[in-house]
Amino acid sequence: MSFKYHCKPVITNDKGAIRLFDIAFCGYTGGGNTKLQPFKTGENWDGDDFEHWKSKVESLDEAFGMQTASLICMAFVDPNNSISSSMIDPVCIQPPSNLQGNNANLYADPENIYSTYHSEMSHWETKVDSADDIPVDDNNQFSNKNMRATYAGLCPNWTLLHAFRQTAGHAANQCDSHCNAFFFEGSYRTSGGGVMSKTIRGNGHLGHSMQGCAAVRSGKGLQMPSVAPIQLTHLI
Amino acid sequence: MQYSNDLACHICLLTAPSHERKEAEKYAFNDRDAYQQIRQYVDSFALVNKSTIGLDVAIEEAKSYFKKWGAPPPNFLLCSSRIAFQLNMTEPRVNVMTQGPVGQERLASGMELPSYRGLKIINTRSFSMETGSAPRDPFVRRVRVGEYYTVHVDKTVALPEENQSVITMYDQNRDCDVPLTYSQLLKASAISDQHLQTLRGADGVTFVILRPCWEHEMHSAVLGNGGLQNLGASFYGQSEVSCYDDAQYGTTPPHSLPSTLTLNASRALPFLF
Repeated sequence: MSFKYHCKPVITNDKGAIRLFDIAFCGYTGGGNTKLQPFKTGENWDGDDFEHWKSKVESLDEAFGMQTASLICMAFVDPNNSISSSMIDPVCIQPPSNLQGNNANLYADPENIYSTYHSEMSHWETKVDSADDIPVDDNNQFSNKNMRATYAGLCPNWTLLHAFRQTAGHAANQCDSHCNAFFFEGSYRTSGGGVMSKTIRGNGHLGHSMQGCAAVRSGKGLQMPSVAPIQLTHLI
Repeated sequence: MQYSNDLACHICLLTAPSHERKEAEKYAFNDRDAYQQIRQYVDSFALVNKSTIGLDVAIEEAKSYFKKWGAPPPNFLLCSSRIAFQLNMTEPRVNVMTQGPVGQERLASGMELPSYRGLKIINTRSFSMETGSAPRDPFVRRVRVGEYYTVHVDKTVALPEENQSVITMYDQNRDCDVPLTYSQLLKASAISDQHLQTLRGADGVTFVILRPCWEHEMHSAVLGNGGLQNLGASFYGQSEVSCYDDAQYGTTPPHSLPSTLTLNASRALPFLF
């Protein structure tokens, strides 16, 4: 005799549970090295093929990989240093208005509840134009406006990937990577000939990056803040 | 049966409708602007690792949501054992040598964490979900985040040498800061030989460096209040019983059973969390 049964867990009261997504590191899977991916590859140009790199970025069903180049660099002729000052946090390189269907939502929360895109996030795309849209050659081929459009067109479409991402629960179930079209200013120092020295502490998802935090981001230990949140400590 | 039911419970809790979403859609009102919403998620990202009291804050904030919705307070926390061991790694718990017999007992018992802040801790587990791949925990997922960096080179002030470092940033593969040179940035950003020449000849160049896919595996957790009325249940029922020829009792005709499953509340197995 054989007995077959069906079994299905059902949530009958959605007020009875709250999900806390992405609250702790479990492991590092790539994208954090300092290898630059050049846009132009091939004859006399070093580096891996850009299209191959692009396919790695667009592939969400596998880890990005430790050895895959993590950085791309865009350069603009900018004698007045107006671009750095026009960057806000976060910045969106490809505005969703470029997507088909227009006005696509970009959610920041993992459950895709709140649309968090604001047109100002893409402001750096246009704000600089009035200040220094300088023709650098006769055809104006490499003007900032043209170069922004060119770079945005060459890059993988993060905005599209972000706009159509699944909710966190479904992504976790299907083992898909959750991608993000928002870029936050990271931790870095600048210095050198003709370079204004500055030290920036990152304020994005990962917070400040410093030597020693690799172990924490592998899920081993806690990151001790360099400045204690006194107010918060007193509240508890 | 227990294995498949556990997996189904994990997936159900991960993908169930969210009451917060229901409220947001019903009232279409949000008193936070886009930047506040972003900070809310960004600040809570890896909260357990960023702050020693991160999970405490998350639990208490979640409890306040339960109160706001008029639901009974949560009584379980479903999370990976790795989150639970992080809670055991705080200074007072690790430093057992100064706590006398209690510390020795704690060390000998393996520092189990059966409950925390009034919540019963239930550990998630890994399941064999895809053919040929290792079992995985559905409460762990890959998340990519993005960062940008800017550096301005003003050649009217000083002409940087090609191999001179202009920016130093963190490399997580090597866990150290790595300098990038002016030459490296120029070559990586040029889209053609002509563009490269243009950049070399310009008085000032601003580099915008993007790190689009900084990827980590992240733990998730669920706070809830178990029970059929408060949360849900695993409903089960028979779908088919087959009887075969038997040498001892002769042939028994098969019973006619409905092909569709009727979920019956009396057969419900409430979540035991």
